[in-house]
Amino acid sequence: MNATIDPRWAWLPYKPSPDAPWDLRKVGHLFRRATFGADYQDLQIALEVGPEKTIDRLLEGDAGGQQKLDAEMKPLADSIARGNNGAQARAWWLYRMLYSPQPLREKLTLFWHNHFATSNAKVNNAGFMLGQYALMRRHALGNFRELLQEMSQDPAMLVWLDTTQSKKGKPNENYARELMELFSLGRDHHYTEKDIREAARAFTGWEIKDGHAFFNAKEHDETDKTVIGKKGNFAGADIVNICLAQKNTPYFIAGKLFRFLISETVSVTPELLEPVAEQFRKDYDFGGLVQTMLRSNLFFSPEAYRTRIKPPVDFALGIVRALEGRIGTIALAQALEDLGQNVFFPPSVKGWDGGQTWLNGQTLLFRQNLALALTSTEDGRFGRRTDPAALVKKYGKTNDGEVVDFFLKLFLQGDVSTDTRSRLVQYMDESRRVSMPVFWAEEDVTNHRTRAVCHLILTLPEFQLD
Amino acid sequence: MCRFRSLAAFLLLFVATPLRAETPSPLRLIPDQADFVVQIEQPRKLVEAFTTFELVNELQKLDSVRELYDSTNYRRFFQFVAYFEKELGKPWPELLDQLGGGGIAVAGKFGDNSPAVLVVQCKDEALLKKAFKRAVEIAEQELARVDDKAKLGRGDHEGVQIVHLADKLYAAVVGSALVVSNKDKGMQAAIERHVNGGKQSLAGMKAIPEARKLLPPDPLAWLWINMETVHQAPQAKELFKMPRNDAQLTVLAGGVLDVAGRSPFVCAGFHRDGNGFLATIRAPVGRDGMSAGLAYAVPPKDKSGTLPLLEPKGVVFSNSFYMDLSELWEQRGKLFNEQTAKAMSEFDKKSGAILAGNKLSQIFNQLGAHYRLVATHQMNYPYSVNLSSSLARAIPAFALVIEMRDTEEGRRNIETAARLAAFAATTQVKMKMTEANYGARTIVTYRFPEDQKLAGDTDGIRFRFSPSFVAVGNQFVVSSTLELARELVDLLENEAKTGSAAPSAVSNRSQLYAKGGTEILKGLDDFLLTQTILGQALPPDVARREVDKLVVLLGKLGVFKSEQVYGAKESHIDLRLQVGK
Repeated sequence: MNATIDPRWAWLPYKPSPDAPWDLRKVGHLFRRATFGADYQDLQIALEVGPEKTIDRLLEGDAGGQQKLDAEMKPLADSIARGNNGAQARAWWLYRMLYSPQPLREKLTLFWHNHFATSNAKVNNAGFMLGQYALMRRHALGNFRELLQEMSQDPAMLVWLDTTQSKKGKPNENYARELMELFSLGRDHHYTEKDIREAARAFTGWEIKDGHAFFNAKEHDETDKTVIGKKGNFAGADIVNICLAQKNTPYFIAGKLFRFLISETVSVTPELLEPVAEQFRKDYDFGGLVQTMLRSNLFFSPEAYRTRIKPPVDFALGIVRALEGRIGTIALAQALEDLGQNVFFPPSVKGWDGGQTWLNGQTLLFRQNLALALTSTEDGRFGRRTDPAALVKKYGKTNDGEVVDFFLKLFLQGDVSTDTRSRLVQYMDESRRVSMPVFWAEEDVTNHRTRAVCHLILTLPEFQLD
Repeated sequence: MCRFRSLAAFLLLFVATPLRAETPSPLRLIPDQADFVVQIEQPRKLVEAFTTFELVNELQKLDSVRELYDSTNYRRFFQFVAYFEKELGKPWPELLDQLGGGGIAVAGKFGDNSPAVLVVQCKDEALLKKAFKRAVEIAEQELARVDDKAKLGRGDHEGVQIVHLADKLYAAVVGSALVVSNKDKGMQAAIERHVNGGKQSLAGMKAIPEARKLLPPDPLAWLWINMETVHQAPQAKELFKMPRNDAQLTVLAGGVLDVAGRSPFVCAGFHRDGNGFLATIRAPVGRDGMSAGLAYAVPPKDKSGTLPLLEPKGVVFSNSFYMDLSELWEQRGKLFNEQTAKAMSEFDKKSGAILAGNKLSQIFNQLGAHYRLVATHQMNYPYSVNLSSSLARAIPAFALVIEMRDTEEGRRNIETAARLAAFAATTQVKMKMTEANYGARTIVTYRFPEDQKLAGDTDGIRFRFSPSFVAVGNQFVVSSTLELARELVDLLENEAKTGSAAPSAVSNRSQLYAKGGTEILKGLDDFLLTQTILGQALPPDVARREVDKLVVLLGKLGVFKSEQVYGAKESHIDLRLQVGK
């Protein structure tokens, strides 16, 4: 497939054209990848203002609104940290993902969470996890160098990869290994087991004191280390810089972002990545890299369109946002754990495998059940807070065709065959003839049909694709 | 699922006014082989007990409860009721009167896959038939909606039509009653009793009126359990035999198990009690005939039961119980199996080495039979450290007050044991001992240094403790904080002066105090607020109001009391909720 992708064309900014018009499909694609989904108004506004302005708005976010949300959520974070409540911590983040007016930043924070995959199952300190979240969010559209340096001294990471256990004479290799293998160079790229052992000595001496990283010089190995061809009395920060100076590092990070934002199916070759990776190498401006990818021809091309399997967070939050719901996230966090994506509790240091592993017989059934819970208004956890029937009323959609088209536009931007659409309309029509409980009012019957067809749409194979 | 919801809602309609003399008992349709029965004799009274309960009305003011009422499922339930009102031409209270006025009974046998039967005794047979017909029609419609090929099954027994609503769900109008059963045989048995005029039914069993007599009058609902069946269960032999292999169970629940093991039945009643509710569990056997070894847990007729509850400021929980450890020691051979009794004797021989020369049996002999436990919200904290952890702030102070038989020697030996235990603790954790004079008493107290850290206690939980002990007359106080110890000294001295320690016949009594509990909840305020915002996605100001309302509401719960009494020929446990203002 890559043979047909010209790297120069790939990274040029997308300009709408008759062949590639700025339409609802592209708007939906942008919101799915760069945020956790859009509501009907978001889609319409973006369609009107065009790609550049929409991406500008996503990059900037609503600073005032965000400030207000931050102020509201700070006391909650303090409380969660004091109570060391991991269940509340994950709900706290999901709440931000759902209601933040800077969804791109939240989405990229989730990207970094999967990159630096740290689990509270081992850290067992909600305050540390929230601290790491804040670090990742702060640099989500910032500088990777700074993020990596700070991550090396992040309390949650110090516990997660045993840096706090790493002492002079008894270095622990976990952080040095993952720094190279998972956080910067990528597996088997120009480093050896000896490099890891040497680098581990540079990270000795880090402890946690009063909830903060603390460097204990007495426990630090002050002797010379040789790491990837460099020799010196290195400290941890020096090893990070050595890793950042390696040729593959920008390719590794750009490749990972490529799979997150653009495609899980396109093969990420060095040639394809070269223009963006080399630009990224200059100053590790991750925000710039994100911007380049989001604005690119490749991002809006058919090669990228619906070529990822929707992760559970995107699946659930996408439904809630589209339905303009306002639901509690404690129950949602539990539902997402059942679907396989328990934020703050990734399965391993490698994070979630993603892609096809999101779907199996069980998780697919759980997705259908969650979709039903979010659309039926009969589930005690979410009640009528996400109500497809109320939504169609709000937008004045009354007849069956209008209702089906509205939901298909909202959730799938019309990405279904005419046959599927006809069958959905037919379902609604046939459901008129199904006897409903005699005590239901006419409105109940209408609402029930609307909710049922909405649920059907959310169980379509197309909706599982991002 | 919808079918079951509709049916459940339908059954709720069969709740009615007081039983009239001419209305037959629903028990006449229940076979006398039933192991248990629950009956609501005055269903409407039960409904009104809740609908007129002030706290229920208060609860409805909470946003989350209002949202629940506005939910789709609730709305459908109310629509369902409205539909029946319209179809049957009466408002729901009248329907309740007519359709379930004769009472509701649920009975069954223990064990998996055993039959169970529900009987709703109506007062207007024609109305019942009409309501049943409509309900079946609705069930049919629901079934057709879910699966258009499915149909309700129908059959008959002794000329009575039975509708098979679902797997393990049969319903029929049997004379003037609605009968629902999980088994075909259960339904047939009810019909047969209808045909034979109630022979071999619970209505003819002597034990039922005996049970009703044992309970206070006018229960909103009552339960009867045939213990003779329970006694024959394979596990029962081990549970009720004496001496018992499970020593812990004997110490904690020996008396209750003895009563349960001898009693032909156990009954329970649920009653309106002033501005609250009473739930009582009763058995027709008591101290008479009880195993001799159990005298340690059961106050004899000529001896006192529990002492009054202690209620210091901010009290959350108070408990007073009777336990004669001296008696327990004497009777160990009758209470525990040979191996346990022997191990106890062996331990006693060596116990002097760890109890400063006193044997365990000696200490047991010096202890009285009365104990009191108390937990309070910490009004004043024992340290100046300002704790941020809500968990640490919520930790209550608690104390155990032990009666001593021989005041001076008992005090000396128990104090020695307490000092030894405290010394052992100081070898693990740094604590400073001080002896503080409080009036005429000397309180021995231990404090954690505030300027030193303790590994594993980052939240500062230790700063909610200053373990203390003090003797007040024949009462020995072991408290988690100095402040509570002082309060208890005052209370116990006052008790000694006023003679308010008059014992009662109760063997165990407890009270939970909502007011003290809400003080603890206030300590968890940030947790509750966070949970409310994240759980319900409420804006912070709305969540704040919701939490405040909830705390006020819980404070109005008043006092929850429990009392356990062994009479000569009956035993009972009363659980009371006394709502405050």
